[in-house]
Amino acid sequence: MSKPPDLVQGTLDLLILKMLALEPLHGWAISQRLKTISNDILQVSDGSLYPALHKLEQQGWIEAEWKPSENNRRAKFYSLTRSGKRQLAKETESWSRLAGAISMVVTLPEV
Amino acid sequence: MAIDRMWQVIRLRLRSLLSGESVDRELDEELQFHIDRQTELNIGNGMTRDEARLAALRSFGGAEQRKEECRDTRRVSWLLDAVRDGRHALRLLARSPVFAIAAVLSLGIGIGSNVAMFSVVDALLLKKLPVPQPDGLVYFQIMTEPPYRRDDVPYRMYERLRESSTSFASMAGVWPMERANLTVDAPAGDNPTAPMTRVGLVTSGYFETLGVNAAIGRVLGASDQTERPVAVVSDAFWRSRMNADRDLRAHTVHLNGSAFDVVGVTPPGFSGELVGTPADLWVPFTLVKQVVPEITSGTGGFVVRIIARLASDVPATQAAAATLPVLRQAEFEEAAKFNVKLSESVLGKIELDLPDMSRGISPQRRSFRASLLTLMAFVGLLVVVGCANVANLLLARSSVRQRELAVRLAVGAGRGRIARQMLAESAMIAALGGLSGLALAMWATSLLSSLLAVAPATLNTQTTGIVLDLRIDPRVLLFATTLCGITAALSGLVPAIAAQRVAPASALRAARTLGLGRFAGPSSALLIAQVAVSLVLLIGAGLFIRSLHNLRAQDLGLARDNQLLAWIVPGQTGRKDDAMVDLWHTMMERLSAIPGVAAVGASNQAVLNGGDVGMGVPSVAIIIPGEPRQLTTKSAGRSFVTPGFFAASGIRVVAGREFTGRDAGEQSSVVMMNASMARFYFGSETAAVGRIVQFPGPSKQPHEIVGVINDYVRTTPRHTLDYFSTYYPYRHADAINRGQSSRLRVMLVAIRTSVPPLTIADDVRREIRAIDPLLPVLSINTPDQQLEGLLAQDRIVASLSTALGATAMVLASLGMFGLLSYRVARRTNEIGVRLAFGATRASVLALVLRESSRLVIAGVIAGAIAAVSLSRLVASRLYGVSASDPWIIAGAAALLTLVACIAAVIPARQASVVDPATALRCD
Repeated sequence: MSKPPDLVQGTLDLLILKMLALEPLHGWAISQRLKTISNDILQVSDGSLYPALHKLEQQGWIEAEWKPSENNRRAKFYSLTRSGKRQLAKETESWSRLAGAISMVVTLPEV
Repeated sequence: MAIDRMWQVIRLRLRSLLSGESVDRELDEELQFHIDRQTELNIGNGMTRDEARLAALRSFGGAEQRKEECRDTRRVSWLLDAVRDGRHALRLLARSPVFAIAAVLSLGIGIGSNVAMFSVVDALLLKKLPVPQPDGLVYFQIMTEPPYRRDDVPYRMYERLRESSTSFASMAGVWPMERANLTVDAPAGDNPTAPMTRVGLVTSGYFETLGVNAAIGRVLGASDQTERPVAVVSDAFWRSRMNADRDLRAHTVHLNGSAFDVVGVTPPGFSGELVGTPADLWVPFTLVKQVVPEITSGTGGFVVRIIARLASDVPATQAAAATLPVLRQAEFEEAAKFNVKLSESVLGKIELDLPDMSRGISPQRRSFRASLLTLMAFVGLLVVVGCANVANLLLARSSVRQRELAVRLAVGAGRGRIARQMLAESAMIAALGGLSGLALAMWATSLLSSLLAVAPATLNTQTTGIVLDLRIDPRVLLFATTLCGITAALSGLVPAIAAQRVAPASALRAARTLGLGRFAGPSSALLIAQVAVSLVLLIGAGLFIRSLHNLRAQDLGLARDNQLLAWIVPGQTGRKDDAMVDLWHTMMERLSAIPGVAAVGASNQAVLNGGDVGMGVPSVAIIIPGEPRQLTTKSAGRSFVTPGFFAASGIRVVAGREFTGRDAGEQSSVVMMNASMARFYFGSETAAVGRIVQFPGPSKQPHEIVGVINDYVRTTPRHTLDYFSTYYPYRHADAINRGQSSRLRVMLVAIRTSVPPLTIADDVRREIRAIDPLLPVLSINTPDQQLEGLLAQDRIVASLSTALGATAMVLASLGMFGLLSYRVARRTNEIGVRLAFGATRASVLALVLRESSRLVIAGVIAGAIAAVSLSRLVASRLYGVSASDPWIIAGAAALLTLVACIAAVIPARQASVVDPATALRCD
C-alpha cells in the first residue's frame, strides 16, 4: 500500500516543523491542527503523519517527551530542537522561493 | 551536523538497538492514543462506539504498515535482523545441546591449536622487535670465500668500521654470554642453584641504535664504557630476580667475584636483539674481563656482532657497498696482527651482507622453522576437519528442517534471509568455538613455551632451547578472529547453499522416507574429505613417532648405562695454564674417591653436545711424513682428554691403548684418533697404531698414534658419524695451543658408576662445590637424559602430531557417527518396509555398514594419495624412515578404518533393531 499522494513532497515536514515551532504537540493534536489550519484543503491521512514524525525525530529536527495530555493520559509530545529551528528557517525560505516562483508563473496574465 | 543533533541521533539509534522492545511498545502506545482520541472525537460527532472506532482506524490506513514505516525510519533494521538471527541460532543450539557441544568442540579444538601454533610462529618468525622503530635495523654478516659466513668480528675491527662508515645513523657491537654463577645481592658461593643468565656485552650506542629507553633509571651510554661495573637489567630479570623493586640502588648483581650496580631496567617485552634467547642484563663492553675471565685474547680481540641503524634513505645494499672497502682494509689489518698478509684475491672475495634485523636475529629460527611450519600445516588441516564436521552436522540438521524451510519459503521468506540464518548459526558456532579455542590456546601456549624451552646441556655458548614470551596479544586475537570468520564461512556456506536449492513444492510433497535427497551429495564428500585429512595427519604422526624411535635407538658409540655426565665451565673462574691443569687433576682425584664411582674421565669436547661438529672448512687434518698433504672437510678438530676418559664414557678403544698417567710427561708426544680417521689415512684401525704423524701449525713435533677409538656421537644422533677427530692428553693442551684461549676452559666429566647413577648426582655436585664453590656446573645428567634433551624438538613434533592426528580421527569418527545416525533416523521408514518384506536384521546392518565403508575407503584412498604427494614436505624432519613408508601408511589406514567402523556400528545396530510396525506407522 503506497502513501497517498496527499501533499507536495516535503511540505508535510515543513508544516509539522512550523506547528511545533508554535508549541509542543502530540501526534493527534497535530493531525487536528493540520485539518483546521489548512481548512481541510490539505488531505493528510492520519497514518502518514507518524512515519513523518518519526523520521523528523530520527533526523534530530524534533524531539519527543512523554507527558500527560489534555485528558490526563500519557501522550508523546513533540517539540522543535535547536537544529530543528534552523531547519525550519531554511525550509521556510526555500518554500517561499518555490511558492513565489510558482505563483508568479501561474498568475501570468494570458494574452 | 551540529553536535547536539548528532548526539540525539546517536542516542535514538542506540536506544532502538539496545531496547528495541520498549521503543516498539512506545510506538504502539502512541498510535493507540491517537486512535482512542479520534474515536472519542467521532463519538462526540454522533457516531456509535463501533462506528467511531472503525472510522478512526480507517483514517489511519493500515496501522501495522504505518508501524513498519515508523520502524524503518530508525535505520537499524539490518543490525536488528542480525541480532535476531543470532538469538535464533542460539535458541537452535540450546535446543540440541549434543549437537552444539560437538560442533563447538570441533571448531574450538581446531581454532585453539591454530592460535597456539600461530603465537609460536608469530613470536619466532613474524613479530618485529619490540622497539620504537624496528625498520632500518640491520646486522653485519661477513662472507669470506662464500659460502662461509660469520656475523662476529673482533672488537677492534668493529671500532675501525664504526670510525670509517658513513652509511649508518648509528652502530653498535654486542655479544651475548651465557653465565652461570650470576646472583643478585649475594655472591655466587652462597647460592648454588643460580639459574643460567644471559649477559649482553654491549658497546656504547647499543641502546641508541635500537632506540630503547629505560623504563626505570637509565640505559647504558658512551660514558659507561669504563671500568666501573654497571648493568642494565631486563624487565623479566627485574621482576623474577629483583622482586620488581623500584629502588635499584638497593641491589647488586654478582658475577665472577665482581659486583655490578644496577642503573636501569628496560621496558617490558624488550630482551635484546636476539629472538628466542632473551638477554637478562647488559653490561658495558669494557667489562669483558669481569664477565668472561677465561679469555686470553684481550678486549680488542674479543668478538662482537655488529648491529646498525641505516641512515635514512640509504638502502641496505648501498650501505653494504659503501662499507665494503673499509671492511676489506680492516680484515687486512686484522690478519696482519697475526703476521698473515691477505692477498688481493682473498680480500676480493670478502663480501658484506646487511640482513634486515627488524624481526631480530635468531640462531634457532632456521632449525625450528621446518618443525613449526610442519605443525602449523597440521593444525591447519585439523581446523579443516573441524569445519567439515560442523558443515556436516549443519547439513544433517538443515535436511531435518527441510520441510520447515520449505514452509517458510512458501509463505514468502526470502532465500537470502534463510541463507543468512544458516550463516548466523555457523557464525554463532564459530564464535563459541573461538572462545573455547582461546581458552584452549592459553593452556596450550604455556605448554608449548615450556616444551620449547627444554634444552640439553651443552658446552657450546649457544643453547638450543627457545625461550619465547608467548601471550595472547592483539595480533594473536586478530588471527583468532579471522580464523573464526573463515571457519564460520567454511562450515556455514555449504548448508546455506544447499538450503537455496530447496524447492518448496516438492519438499512439501515429499514423504519423510525419501531421505536425504539433495543433501546426500555434499555431506558424503565432506566426510570423505575428513577421513582423508585425518589419514594424512595420522600418517604424519606415525612417521614422526617412527623417526623419534629410530633416533632413540641409534647406536651412539658410547655407553648409556651407569654413567653420569657433569658439564662444567672452569674457565669462568679465571683459571689459566697450570692452575687449570691442576683443577682438572684435582677434579679427577676427588670425584673418583666418591663411593659408588667406578671410573672418572674428562674431555674438553663433550659427547652428545648438540649443535654442529663444525666441519666443512677444507683443512689439513694430519700430516703423514713422506706422504702428500690431503685437504679434508671432515676435520672436527682436536680434543683433550684425561687418562681413562674413554673407559669412563664407554667409548671403545678398537686398536692400541688409551692414554695413561705416563703419557703426561713433557717429552711424550702421543695422540689418539677415531676409527673413521684411521681407516681413511691408514687403511685400518690397527694399521694406524704406532705410526708417527705431525699436525699443521708452527710446531712440527712428531706424535705417535697410540690408540684408535670407536666413532661416537659428538653432537646429536641426527648428525653423521663420519668425522675426523684427534685426541691428546689434557696436560698438553696449553703446549699445543700456545697463545690462544685455554682449551681446558670447558669440561665434560664422565663418571662411570657402580650404583644407579642418579643416586650419587648430589654427592658429585657437593664434591665439585667443595673444590671451588665458584665453579659453574651447568648440569649433571645421564646420557639418556641428555639424549632426551637433544631430541626435544623431535619429541615435540612427534607428540603434538600424534595428539593432533588422534583428535582429527576422533572428529572424523564423530562426523561419521553423526552422519550415519542421522541417515538411519531418516530411513527408519524405509528400513521398516524392508524388514516387513522379510529382510533380515543382518542384511539391514550390512546395508548401513556398506554405506559407511564406501565412504571410509574413498577417504582412505584420497588421504593416502595426498600423504604421498605431501611427503617431501616432512622428509627433512624424518630420520631412518621414508616419508612414504608403506607400513606406516597401511597402519594408519587400518587404524582409521577400524575406528570409523566402530563409529558406524552404533547407528547400524540402531537400524537393525527397528521395529517394522512402529517404523511404518510413524509417517
